[in-house]
Amino acid sequence: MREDYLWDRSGPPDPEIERIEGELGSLRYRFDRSLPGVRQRPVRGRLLAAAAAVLLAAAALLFRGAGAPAAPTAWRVGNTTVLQGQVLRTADSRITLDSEAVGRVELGPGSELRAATSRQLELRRGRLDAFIWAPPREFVVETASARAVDLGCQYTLDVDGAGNGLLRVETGWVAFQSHGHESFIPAGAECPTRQRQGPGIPFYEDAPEAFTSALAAYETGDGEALPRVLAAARPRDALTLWHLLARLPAAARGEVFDRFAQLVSVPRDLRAGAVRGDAKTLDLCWNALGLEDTGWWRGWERPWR
Amino acid sequence: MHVMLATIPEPAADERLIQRAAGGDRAAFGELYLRYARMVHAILLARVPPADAEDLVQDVFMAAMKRLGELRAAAAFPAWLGAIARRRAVDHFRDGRRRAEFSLSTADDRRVPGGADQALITLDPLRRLPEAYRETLIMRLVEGMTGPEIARQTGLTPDSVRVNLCRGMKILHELWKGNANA
Repeated sequence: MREDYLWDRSGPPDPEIERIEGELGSLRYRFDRSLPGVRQRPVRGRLLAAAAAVLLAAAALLFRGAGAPAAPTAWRVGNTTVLQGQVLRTADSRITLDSEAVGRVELGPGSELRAATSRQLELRRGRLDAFIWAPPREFVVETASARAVDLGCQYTLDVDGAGNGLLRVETGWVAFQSHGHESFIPAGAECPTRQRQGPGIPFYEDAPEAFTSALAAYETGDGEALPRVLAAARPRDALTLWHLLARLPAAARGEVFDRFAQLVSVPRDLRAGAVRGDAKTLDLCWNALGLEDTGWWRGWERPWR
Repeated sequence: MHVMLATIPEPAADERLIQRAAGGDRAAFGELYLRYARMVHAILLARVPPADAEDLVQDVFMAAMKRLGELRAAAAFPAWLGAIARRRAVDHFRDGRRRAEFSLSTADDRRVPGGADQALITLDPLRRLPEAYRETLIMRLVEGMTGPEIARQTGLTPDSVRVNLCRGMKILHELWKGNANA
């Protein structure tokens, strides 16, 4: 074994260590693999650097300026600063937008994104993976049917050309809002958005299929699906029921509250307030969900107030 | 040819970043993430299935961000962050919603298409090494960190890292020999 090579890759390469590195390379942290040429073996380093150069060139070619030169945003693709109003389109590869002040956004293949400002991107189609460290509520992604407001850290947003989409939260929180509707999506949950309807009702990714299919049916117009939604709900799915409580007409709220109260601990005497849509009652119901780290919530403009 | 976007941490710069991050500067925290994500990932990969390790990196940094104000000495940051990662790996298996144990035959690694099976086969004996050797070798062989980088990021002395790498490789050889003779 060549210890110098094991230590810092100096000296002649050790064939066995090279083989192991090659076999394990696919497990390397994805963040690093998205960066070009980070301490690779010389040959791989050249290949990755060349691939990165091609990728950056492709990204630059895919920019479509919106007329006269515009102000720069905080976003960069490689060494290229993205300007306000510029549109990025990807073909069959991903590109990464970095901003020291905002975070990191990966744009998936077949996507189109417009950089409105440093704090506002518009995803027209495709997939966006965002890891954001700007203060909560400062960074938003617009789609044709909803606005995703970052309240935490990491999420994925898919949209089609018509404005239908799905937002999945990995860590932290995201608010999805439009058309006077607002959905709050915690880590492990996802939420659809639909053309002309805006954000739907969020649900946890691990919810039972009976629950999610009934919810989808209800949201797309099958009014008889609501009892099936309620029957299939687990305690964790009270998040979804809270959104129904805040969103449904008064006539349906009593039924939803009754099931909500079976799943989480809330005083039964809140029922009348919940049916009326009373803001303080909805707050108490939210607090009963016991979701972690709701400090952001206290500063949020609750639309039902 | 090296294109260096990930910077090598300098102790003084780290200290400033940690102070800024503790004061709520998210950009500073983002820079710490850029610097230490590979170390955290290696610690997690030594303990949990690869598909879960990537997700847990974010959990570790979120936990660290919340608790950074508790850190009294910036120099302790690497070790403190490593401890959070190890703790998160333990918690991962206490969470009943997660998979119970790593398994070569059932590992569902959505992010290693092509070569995934061989990677998991190669990783398996690494994960059976004693903890110190296991983490150090994963940082070196999976994450591509050099010995000096590992020493800077973990707070271990360079001599300790060198010993961990060399002894770990020797034990690996013995494991492979045992497998070959079995």
